Amino acid sequence: MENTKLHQTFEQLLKAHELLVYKICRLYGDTEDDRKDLFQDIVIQLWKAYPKFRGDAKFSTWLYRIGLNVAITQFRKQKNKIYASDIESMNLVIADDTYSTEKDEQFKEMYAAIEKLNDIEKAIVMLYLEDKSYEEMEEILGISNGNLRVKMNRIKEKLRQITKN
Amino acid sequence: MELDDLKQNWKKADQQYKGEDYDLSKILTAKAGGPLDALRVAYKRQLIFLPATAAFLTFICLSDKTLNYNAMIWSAVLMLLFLTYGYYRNYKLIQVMQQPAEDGIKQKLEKDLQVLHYNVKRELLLYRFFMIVFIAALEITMFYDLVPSYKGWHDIIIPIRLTVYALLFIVQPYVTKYFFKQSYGQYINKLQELVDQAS
Repeated sequence: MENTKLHQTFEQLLKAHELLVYKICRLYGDTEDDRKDLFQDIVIQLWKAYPKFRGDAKFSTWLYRIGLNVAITQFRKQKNKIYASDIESMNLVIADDTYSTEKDEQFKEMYAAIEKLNDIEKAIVMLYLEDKSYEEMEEILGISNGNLRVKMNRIKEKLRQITKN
Repeated sequence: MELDDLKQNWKKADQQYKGEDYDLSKILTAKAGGPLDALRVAYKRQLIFLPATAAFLTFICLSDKTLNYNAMIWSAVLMLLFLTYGYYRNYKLIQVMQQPAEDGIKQKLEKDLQVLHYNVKRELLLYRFFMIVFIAALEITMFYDLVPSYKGWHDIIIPIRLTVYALLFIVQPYVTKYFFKQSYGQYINKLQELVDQAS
């Protein structure tokens, strides 16, 4: 009974925040299969961790922490993997949908440049794009505020260089 | 194009997103496919296979009177049980590392790396201890002439036996580290790389 209730609240919270999970998958998965696998891995980890979620932090902060941790440390991009669950039809195209303006090519270039960043830099960029404050980023990533600012400047410069070339 | 320009595009995607249909129950019953999960499954298989083999050998030894005192088989049983313990410890280690990050991601990475390094040290000591016990038991058994099949080894002069034991002591850390690296090497490197990236 309690487990059913837990499952229900988890499902509701996940539904409300699933876009965040998709975004992580979009950023860390190279292919659609990778993204589906990663989505599955993150949801499984979130579910396993959910009973310990005490609500001290915001659900989204907690989700970023676990989701990014799975994407960075526990996810292995696989070739020829047979997919286990029925989310095969999941469409993980996020920002690609918006490529209809004259800036299409520039956006594509920027996404391609972000894909060239290392795993931690990608996480920082994602949180930045999500408009997270440096305090929230510090809470999620465990990197000090000062260090994050330095890293952010370096990342911006790095992206400039990549898109220039 | 600057990163800040991308923010608008990123936000636009939020508005366009309509949600997807998926069956959560099916996802939750599926198995995760990460490297740690693959290791955990492999260890789980060993945790079944090794004690089963030990039990089978014990049964053979006990049911056949000629094998009752076969030191080689009993040593193998002991070795299998010891290995089972080793795999059990590794299995537990994976469970610890699969715990979700309660602090920041960087702290979790550092903690996992620390746990792995600590485990290498512990494993080295554990195998060394087992080796000492094994050699001591072998020598005592031979001294009291308890097992006839050890006579061949007992006939070899003590300096040569000691040299072999010393060689085992020298080689053991490398072998232990090799096997640990086989299991966790890539993962340790990956964690170290991530900690460096986060520093």
